[in-house]
This record gives sequence, structure tokens and C-alpha cells, in this order.
Amino acid sequence: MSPPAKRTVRVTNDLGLHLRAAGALVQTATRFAAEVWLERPGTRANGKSIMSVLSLAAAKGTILEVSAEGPDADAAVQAVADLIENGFVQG
Amino acid sequence: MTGRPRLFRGIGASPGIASGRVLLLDQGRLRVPRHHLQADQIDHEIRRLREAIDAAVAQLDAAQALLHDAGVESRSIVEAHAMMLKDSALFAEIAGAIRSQQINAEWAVTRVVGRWRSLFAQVADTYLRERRSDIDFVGQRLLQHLGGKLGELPLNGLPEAGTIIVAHELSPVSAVLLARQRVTALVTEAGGKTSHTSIVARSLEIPAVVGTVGVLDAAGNGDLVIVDGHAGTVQLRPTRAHLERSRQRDDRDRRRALELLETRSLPAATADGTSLVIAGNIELPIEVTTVVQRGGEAIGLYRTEFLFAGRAALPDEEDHYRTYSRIFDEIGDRPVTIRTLDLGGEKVFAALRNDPEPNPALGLRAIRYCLAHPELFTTQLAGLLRASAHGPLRILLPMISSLDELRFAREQIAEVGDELRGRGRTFADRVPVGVMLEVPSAVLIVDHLAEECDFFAVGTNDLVQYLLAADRSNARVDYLYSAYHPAVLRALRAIITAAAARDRPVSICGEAAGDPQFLPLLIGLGFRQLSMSPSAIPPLKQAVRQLRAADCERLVEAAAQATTQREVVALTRDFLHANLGPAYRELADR
Repeated sequence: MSPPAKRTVRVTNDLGLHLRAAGALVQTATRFAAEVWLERPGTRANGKSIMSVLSLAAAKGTILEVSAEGPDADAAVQAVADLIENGFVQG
Repeated sequence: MTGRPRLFRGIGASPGIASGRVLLLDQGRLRVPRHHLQADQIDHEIRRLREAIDAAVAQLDAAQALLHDAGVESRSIVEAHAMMLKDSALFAEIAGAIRSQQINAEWAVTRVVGRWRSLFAQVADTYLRERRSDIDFVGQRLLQHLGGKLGELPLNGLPEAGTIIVAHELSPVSAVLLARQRVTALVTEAGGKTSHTSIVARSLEIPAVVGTVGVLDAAGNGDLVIVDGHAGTVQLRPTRAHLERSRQRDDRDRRRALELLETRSLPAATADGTSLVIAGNIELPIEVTTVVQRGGEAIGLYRTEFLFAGRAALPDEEDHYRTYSRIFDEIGDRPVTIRTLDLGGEKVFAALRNDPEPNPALGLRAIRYCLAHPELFTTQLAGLLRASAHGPLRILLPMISSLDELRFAREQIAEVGDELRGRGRTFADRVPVGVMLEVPSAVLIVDHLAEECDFFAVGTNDLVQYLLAADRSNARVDYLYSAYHPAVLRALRAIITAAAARDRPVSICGEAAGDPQFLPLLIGLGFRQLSMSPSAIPPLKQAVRQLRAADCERLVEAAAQATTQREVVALTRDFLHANLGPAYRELADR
């Protein structure tokens, strides 16, 4: 078993992980077979559950650790972390 | 239903008369049935929950399609709400509560929603804290589909034709959905002329009365009611005589409207050959069609607040871009003037609501709000600039009160332009930037502003209100609010003079612009571009053709000597009487 993929990112957009951002994040995470997790001190959220992601209440500047476990874990971490770092501007 | 006739007065928010039967949508006071279950009922209850979720998701999908047709870009919000509903964590938690506490699904939903709500309530960030409203929304959808009577709209079981909705207040989504069904009028207890209900009702041309205090308690489902959106009255349980009278008025209004429509494509030129440009004010992109059908030649004022209305998150650049560029699909290469967010005062939306201000009319609103929230402003500007690739778009800045604000806004526009070019986006070389004249200080420095802006639009509603320091929605002082006040005429003259000196186009777009009785004063002062609600266009164009510009100029000369509002009104009335004769009578009792 390879070690779980991980990357630490900072929430960059002014409004933080707001509803639409959370929606976009979940949509991205759901594309992968791997389990995706977001963590900030004291809270861990399932990247495929919008309620869970919203409960992180991650405002601008929050540091989050994105991790994933599963066959496409590396790609999942990259996609989710990039999305957060790019301020949820998609393509 | 029985009961005595009762008349309620509210604010006429969208003209027209309609009669029909009351359907109460009372969101404020939902009663949720609560009971404990027998062990053998639990599986059935969880199945009910599953079905309610599926039905709610289907309803949101339908809502999304309707909103899209109405030109309201809130797709991703509705999508996110659907995702919340479909979230297996939410289902698991509610189902868990049903099973472990042996309570019915409605009760479990309110408990779980309450827990999430209090979780979000503790969040420090004001914006993220507003997620409370999203979880509430999701909870309400579930309760509705669990068979509750509350709320918003019975999409599965459409209201019957002739239904008149009576509610405390409608969310923008339900207002659009209801108005596009067979609902014939809307009545709310809350709200003003600029509330969601009013905007949607005007856009879709169904009568509406808002601010109708007390009607919810008095009305019962199925009661007959007459709604007069012009007079702002709601006649509950009308007598036969009431009904007959309203039918006659309705017939007469319709006949007149039809007659006027026949003349809509005649030019808006006075009898002595002065041409005017008549444009439409709109709040939803779908209204563009109405403006064109009514004989409007341009969009003189597109208010963008609805794009921000009742959303859980702010519109992004694509939302702005798609919404604005679509207007040109309808109207072709005719000019479209788009006002940047004029939020504030009564127009406070869920997505942006913070602490209420003690005096919102003088508070952080419109351009002030935008300059204080650069991300919001530049996002809108980027969408506007990109849309300029599709047609002659003009950007209008609301509530400018100093040259600094205009300069600062122009700098932001220039920066957004550079940034777009950097991203390889194309847009028009020169997008005119205009100042909305509605604050007295701006009128007093209109010559300076003319040096640095490309055009002016006069917002008479706010200008009159601020000049006379009288809130027209306050019944105690609304007698002071009048566009015929000599101070207003002086302000209008100063604007025309300064704009002409620098050759800046100036349009006028408050309610006074669409009022045929005020028209001779505007023509006499020299205004040649008027923008008004679509329904006001045909009668106004007809009135233009009946007037002579030279006569109007003489009227204005006389009015300039008048010292009181009463004298100006009298002069104008006599003028209309002398020049329009019998046609004036029709105007007067509109």
C-alpha cells in the first residue's frame, strides 16, 4: 500500500468555501474512486459530502490538508487542491 | 368561506386588476406534525423520507429549468441545494434520528436541520454563517414534500387558474415560479416596490400589491379576492357590486392597452417634429422582449439587483456575462445601459446581508457598497465588459456623489479591462461609462462630472427623495414627495445645461419619465431620451405625438417662475387640458 496522498492548501478566494465553491469541490471529488478528505485542526470533512464540506466553515486564509486514499488518490488530491488554490475558478 | 368584505391597502407594486381565489402560502408559521412511532412504522417512515428527498430534488431540477427560461442565472445555487438534499450524510443523519429516537420524519428533519443550523450559527465569518439559510431552505423543501402545507409552492399540484397568492413574503425563486404558472396576482404582507415579489410581478406583468399588512390573518384559502395593482388595494370577499366594478375597469384597461399597442411602432415625435428616444427599464432579461413589443427602442436601464437576489452565493463572472450578453440576442444592436449593483436601502439580499444600518438610504449602498467590496464589483465589471463584445453596452454607476467615486470606479473598470486582455478576452474598445444622477451633490457638480463621464442618467425617484428629504414610502411625509417641486425643476435644468455644454447624452429614467402628465415639462426642459417600465411605453409615445415641443418650452418658462409645487402642478394641468383636451381626461384618471 502506498502512503496516502496529501497536500496542504490555503483557501484563497474572498468568500471562502461558500455554497457554490463547496458544490464545485464535491463535484470534483466525486469524479474519483478514491476517498477524499479535507482537514483543518479539529475537523475532518468527507470531500464527497457537501454538508460535510460546508461544516468546515473554511473562510479565506484557512489552511486545509487535502488527502485521498484509493487507486486514483494522487490525481484526486491534485484536482481538489488545485481547485481550492485557484479560488474555485473552473477552467 | 364566509366572512364580511374587507378592504386592505398596500403598495401597488405591479399594475393591473385581477380577481380570483386566495391560496395562502404562509411560510412564517409552519406547523410541523410531531409524533413518536411504533417500532414497526420506522421502515415506512424512512421510505417516506427517501421519497420526499427524491421529490424535492426533482422539484429543484424543474425550478432550475424554469429559472433558466426566465433568464435568472442561479443555476449553480439550485444545483448546490440539490446536492445538499442528495447528500448521503444528511439522509443518514435524518434516518438515524427516525430510527434511534422513534420519531416521525418531519420531526427528525427539524431536529437535524436545527443541529446544522446551530453549527453554522457559530461560524465567525459572517458570509459563511449565512449557510444557515441554505440548510433552512433544504429543510423546508423536505418538510413540504413530506406533506406539509407550508411554503413556497406546490409544484406538484400546480395552483389552479385564477389563483391569487397571499403570502408574507416570497423568495425570488418562488416569485418567478409562481408568476410563470397560472397565478393571476400576488399579494404579500411584507415588501416594497423593489422587493422580489414586486420586481417579478412587474416583469411578468401580473398585478401585485405588497406591504398589505393584516391580510394573512383575515384571508382564508378559497376566499374570493380582487387585487388592484394600480391603486394598491386588496378587496377580500368582494360583494357582487365590487366584482362588477372591477370587471368593468379591467375591461376598459385592457381595451385601452390594446388600442395603444396598435400604435406602438409609430415614432415618438412631437406634432412639431421633435424626436424622442423611448427606452425601457428592465429587471429581468426576459423583459427585453416586452420592451420591444411595446415599441421601446433601447434598454435605458437594466437593474442588475435581481442577479444577486436571494442567492446563497454571489454571481460569478460567467453568470454576469451570460445574463448581459443574452440581452443582445433579443434586442440586436440597440443600446443597452446596465446599472452596476444598486444594492442597499431596502434592497438588501440574503447573499450580502450583514448588520442592518440605522439609516440605509444614507448608508453603504450602490457604488459605495461596490467600491467597498472590490471582488464583487470587479466580477460584475468583468462580466459587463465581456458582454460589450455582443452589442452597444453602456455601464451606469448608481449613486455617485463625488468626482472621486467616479474616478475610482473608472480606474477599476480600466484595471478589469487590462486583466481581461491579459486573459485573452475580447470586448468593445470603448465602453461608455455613465453617472446616475440621483444624489443632490452630484447635481451640484454635474459640470465637473460631465468632464469625466460619457453620459448621464437621471434617476428621478431617488433624486426627488434626496432633494426633498422625503421618503415616499413613508405615509407621514409622502405628501412632500413631488417631482413638480421647483427645486426638482431647477436640478433637471442644471443637468440638461451641463450635459449639453459637454455634449454628453442624458436620459431620464425614474417614474417621472414614464408619466404622461410630467412629459411636457421634460420635453420643455430639453430631455430627449426617456426610459420607463415597458407597460408605460405605449401611452407615453402616444402622449408625445399629441404635444408640441415649442408649447412645452413655453410651459417650462412659466413653470420656472413658479415658486411652489402647487403652482407648477396647476400650470401643467392647465397646459395638458388646453393641449390634449379630451385625451387629458383619460390620462388624469389613470
